[in-house]
Amino acid sequence: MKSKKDLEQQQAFENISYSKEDEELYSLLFSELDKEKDILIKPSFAPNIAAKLTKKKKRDELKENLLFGGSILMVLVITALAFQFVKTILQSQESIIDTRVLTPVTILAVMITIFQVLDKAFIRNRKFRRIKHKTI
Amino acid sequence: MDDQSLVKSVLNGNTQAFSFLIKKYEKLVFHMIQKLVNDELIVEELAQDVFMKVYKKLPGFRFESKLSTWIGTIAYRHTINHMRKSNKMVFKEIEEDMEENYFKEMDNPASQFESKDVSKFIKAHIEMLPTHYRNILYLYHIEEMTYPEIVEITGLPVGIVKNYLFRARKLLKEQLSKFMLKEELL
Repeated sequence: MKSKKDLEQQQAFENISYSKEDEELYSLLFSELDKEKDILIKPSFAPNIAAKLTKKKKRDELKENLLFGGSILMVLVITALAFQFVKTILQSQESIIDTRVLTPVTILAVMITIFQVLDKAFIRNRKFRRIKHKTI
Repeated sequence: MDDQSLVKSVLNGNTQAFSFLIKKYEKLVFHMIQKLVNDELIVEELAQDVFMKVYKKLPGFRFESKLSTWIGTIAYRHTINHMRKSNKMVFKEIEEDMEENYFKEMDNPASQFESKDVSKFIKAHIEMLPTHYRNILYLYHIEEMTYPEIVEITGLPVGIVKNYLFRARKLLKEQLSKFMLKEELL
């Protein structure tokens, strides 16, 4: 059926009427074209890609964790330095900022950091649980 | 497993499902690349890149086309980009008035084909066709894709796709006619 339609379209394109011989030649050609050529694909091709992907995922996760750890560390260091700096100023000069104001600000900064760490761990745990559940 | 559940499973992080997806479409990808690149090592390397890309882009796949068409498009475009980068992009066009002499002008052993095997004869002549002709013949006849699907994969206008397909068949039919005549005379 498909071959007949193909032949009609081909004839319309060439804009000539086909002889019996032409039709036979095209039929032979179409049947040959429809035969799939053998192709050699290593059986290890799919598992190799899957392994590569798992490796990449682990590498990306490690990179992400390192970056996150680094940024948290940086926040803590900067907070400590800022605290130290303000404390030094307060001790050396006349009192501009009340120490009672500094304490809640520091506590807030520490709380935000802790919350960020917990939040990240929570999201990751939830994601892992979901994936584990689906694959089982 | 149907494509929708397969994609869903892969998106949920199931690596096994992705292996299954690769197995299902590796033939299509290898064939698509082989129609454009001859080097076997590069074909495998490109096929790997294609599946990595498929994995990366899968969250954005919305089933607006068939999964096979979408994967085919990635394979086709990735190979074309590779060829562009490595300056191996030689897409021959045949002028209509030059078609008669196309196979004659080609310097290759198939023109003096001694084999009596029609399949081998046709296969050899398909390999000699310009890249786009070969690729469209494959997508239409082997993958049984429709014109809109071929248009989506190759990015060529539908008129050009049809034109290449018909001209490729005409060229092959003429060669086949000569071959059969020779066979009868022998």
